[in-house]
Amino acid sequence: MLLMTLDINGTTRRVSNEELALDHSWFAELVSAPTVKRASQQLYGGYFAPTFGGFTTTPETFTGTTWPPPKKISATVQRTGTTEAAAVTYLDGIAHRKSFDRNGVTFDLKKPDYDVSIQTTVTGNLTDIFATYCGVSYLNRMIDTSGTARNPAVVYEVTSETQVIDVLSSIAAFFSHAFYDDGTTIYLYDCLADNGSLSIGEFDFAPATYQDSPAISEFKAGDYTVSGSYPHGIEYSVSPVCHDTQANIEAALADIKTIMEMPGATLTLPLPYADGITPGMKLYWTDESQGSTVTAWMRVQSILCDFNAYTVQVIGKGGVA
Amino acid sequence: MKVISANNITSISADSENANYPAENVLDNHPKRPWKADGDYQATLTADISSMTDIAIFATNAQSAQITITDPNAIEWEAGVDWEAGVEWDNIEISQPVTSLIQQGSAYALWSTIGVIDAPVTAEILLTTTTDQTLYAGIVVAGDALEFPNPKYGLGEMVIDYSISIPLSNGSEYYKKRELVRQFSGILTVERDNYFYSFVSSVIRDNGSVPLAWQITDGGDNWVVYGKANMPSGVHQYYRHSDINFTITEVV
Repeated sequence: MLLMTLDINGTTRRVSNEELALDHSWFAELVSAPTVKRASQQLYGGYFAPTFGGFTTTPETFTGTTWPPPKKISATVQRTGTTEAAAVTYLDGIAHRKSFDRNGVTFDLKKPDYDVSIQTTVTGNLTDIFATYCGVSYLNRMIDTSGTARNPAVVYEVTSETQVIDVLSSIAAFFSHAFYDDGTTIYLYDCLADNGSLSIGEFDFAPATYQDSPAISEFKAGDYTVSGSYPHGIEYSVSPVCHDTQANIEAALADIKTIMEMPGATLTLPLPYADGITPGMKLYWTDESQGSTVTAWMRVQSILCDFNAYTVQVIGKGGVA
Repeated sequence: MKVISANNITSISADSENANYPAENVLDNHPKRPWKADGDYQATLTADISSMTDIAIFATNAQSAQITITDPNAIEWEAGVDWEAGVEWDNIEISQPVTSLIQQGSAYALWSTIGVIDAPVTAEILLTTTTDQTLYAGIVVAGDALEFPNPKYGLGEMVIDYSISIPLSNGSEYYKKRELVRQFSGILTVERDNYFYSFVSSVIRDNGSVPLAWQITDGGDNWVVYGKANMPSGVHQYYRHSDINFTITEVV
C-alpha cells in the first residue's frame, strides 16, 4: 500500500492509489502514483541514490484548501504491507507543481540535498574516510561498514568544491563499493561480495530479461589500463581516479572489469517483494522458461518500485548458466 | 425499483467517533471511507434531514439498526391547554422496529421506507454490530425516493474485479485481491410522460454519474446498491411507453 502525506499550506492530506482505512483514512486521490528508483551511480558501485517520478492527484486533493494548487508542498512517500506503523519511508521531501488542469494536478518530487561540499585531498583507508565524512561535521549519519571486508587505500585530490556525497560516491565506485542512506545510517558494502542473499522462487517473478554490458576492450583510469576480455569492444574510461600508484589503480580496474563483464539480469516481481530486497543483495533463481533451464543470480544494482503496475523491477549483474 | 436521487441529510453527528473517521464521512460518496465509532460496537448517528421518504445505509458492519424520527421543532403545550373535541396536535415521532441489515459479502446494508415526511426532521439511527468489532458505516442516505416500475425479468448481475494480477514466468499468476464490486443491468419499460423523463431528468441529468442509493427489485428479490448509473439509452418503441437500458455499478 502506498501512503503519501501531503502538507498543503499547513493542512495534512493523506492520499493513496486505493482507498485505505488504516489508523487514518487515506483517500484514493492518486491518479498516477510516483515511481521510486534507487540505483548505484555506476554499474560497479557508488552512491545508491534515490530518484522519484512525478505523481498526479485528483483536483479533490486541493478543493476546499486552495485552487490553483500551490507550487510547492511537502510530501512524504511511504509504503506498507500491513499498518501505518510498519510503513517504510522512501522520501520526505518536496513536491513541486508541474502542471494542472481540470482533471488533476501533477507534481515532481524532489529529495532534500545534502548540501555539504569539500575541496581537499582525501587520503586514508576507505572505511576511515567514510567514518569521517559521514560524521556530524559533514553528512551527519551513522556509518555501517559491515557489508565489506575490504579496506583499500585511497588518494583522491578533489580539485574544486564538490558535494561530499559525490566525493564518497566516486571513491566507493572506484574501489567497487557502493553505499546507501536510510536517513539515519549510511551502509557501505562491497560490490564484489553478497550484501545478504535471497532465493527467488518460480512463483515470485515475471518473465526475466538477461542483458550484457557492451563489449569492452580496455579499462582505462588516467595513465593506466587493464585489458578487457573482448578485443573487438570499446575503450572504457573510469573517472575520477582515486589513487596515485599503478598497482592500486590496476587492481581497482581489475575489480571493475570483473563486475562489468558479468552478465546482467532484470527481474520484475510483485511489489511486496521490495520489502526484502536491499542494495547489493544476491538474488538467485531458476528460470525454466528459457530455451533451456538456466540458474541465474545477480547482485542488486537498481530497485524500481512502480506503484501503478504494483511491481518492483530489480536489475543487477551476476551469472547465468 | 427505487432511487434516492438527492441526499437530504443536512448534518450528521455520532455519539461515538474515531477522530480520524468522523461522522461526516458517511456523506462523502465513498463507501470505503467510513465513519468509525471510538472502539464501540454500538453507537447512534443523528442526522438532520430536510425531507424524506426512505433511508439507506451502506458498507457498514452493523447487523441491526433502529431508526427513530422526531420533529426537532416539536411544540410542547403547557399543561392545562384544552383542545376542542376532534382537534389533535401531532408531533412527528416515528420509531421503526429493530431491523436486521442485509449482508453483502463482509459488509451489510439497509433500506428502510419511513413514509412521506415533508418537513425537517431528525433521525436517530442506532447501529449495532457484534461485541468484538468496532462499529463503522460507509454511507448514509436519506431523501425522497423516486419509484419506478420494476425492471423486466432477466436483470443482469455481474462482478467487476479491481484486483491486481501479474503474469509470472512459470505461467501462473500473482494475484492481490482488492475491491470487487457488483454491476446490475436491465431494462425498464415505462410510461414515457411520467417515468421515462423522470428517470432521465430527475435521476440522470440532475446527477450524472454521482453515486446514488438504489433499490433494484425484480418482483421477487431486491438488491440494495450504492452505485453510479452509466448513461442510459432509451428507445421510444411503443405508443406511450419507452424502454430504458440501465447499468448501475457499485462504487468503492
